[in-house]
Amino acid sequence: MTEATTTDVRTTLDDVVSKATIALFEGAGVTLAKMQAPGSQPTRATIAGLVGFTSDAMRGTLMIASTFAVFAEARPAEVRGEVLSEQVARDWLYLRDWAAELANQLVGRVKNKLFGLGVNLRIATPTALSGGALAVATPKSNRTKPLVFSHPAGEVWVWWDAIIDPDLELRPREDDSQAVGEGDVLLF
Amino acid sequence: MPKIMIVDDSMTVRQQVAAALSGAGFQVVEAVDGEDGLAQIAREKDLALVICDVNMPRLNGLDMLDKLRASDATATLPVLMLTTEGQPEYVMRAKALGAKGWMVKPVKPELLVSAVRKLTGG
Repeated sequence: MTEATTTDVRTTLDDVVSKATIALFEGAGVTLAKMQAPGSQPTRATIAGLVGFTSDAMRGTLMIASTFAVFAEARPAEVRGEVLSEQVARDWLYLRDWAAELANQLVGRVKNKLFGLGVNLRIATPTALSGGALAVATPKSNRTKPLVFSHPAGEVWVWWDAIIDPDLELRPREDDSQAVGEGDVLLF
Repeated sequence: MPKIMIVDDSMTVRQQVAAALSGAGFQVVEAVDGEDGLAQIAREKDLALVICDVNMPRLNGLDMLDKLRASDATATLPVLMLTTEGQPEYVMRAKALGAKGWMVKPVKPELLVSAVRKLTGG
């Protein structure tokens, strides 16, 4: 396995995570646009959702960070009518909960896509944190770069910080099995 | 009015499901994880359906389903899984444990209500 192949895997992962992030927020009625990362750290993120993952060939952490306003807007339509305020502690609790769930749903989308490419991820339970101006530790993998998306209410930063087996190749499963799609329902 | 329990560690998901189902005429009760779900199921009367996440702290949804099936009192309680998981092995395990269905998040309220109506006859 070569350095070039590992780069191919990371390029594919960035594409998968980017598309999953845009689709996740689109499903909540929030349109994001991929942008060049303006630096290595967000400047306005105040809430982040995190979830760990592992598999035989890849392990790490997904983190999604953004502003109070973006997470508030990305809530499901059924609850979005309740106006939240940065001055109310309970509202930060709501949005930490939602940020954790968004991280969960994002890693789930990526997991389901990677399943079709031969990787079986196991996912930990998500968590979230909030603060005045979140700063992110240096990614464990020195090849991890943030994916950044623009929105009028603030940028969305996503890290797929993974240590990847250099022998990993992403290719469609031979048995063609696919994960059940997002939003789909199966009744038995 | 059929009574539905939603078991999910996300408060926002519980609120979303509760809003969608109560708007459709269902009564909804909530539990925060599998352990809480089992404790509340033991106390609740006349539950028509349990909607249950998979990845939860303390007790995950598939293990909760396993425990429900192991008890005579809850062996036939209908359960619909609502989760981010989509891999066939999880779906097949749920089906083997007697779940009535599998929904992958994000919740689409109209599909959720339709599925719940089919499963409860409500």
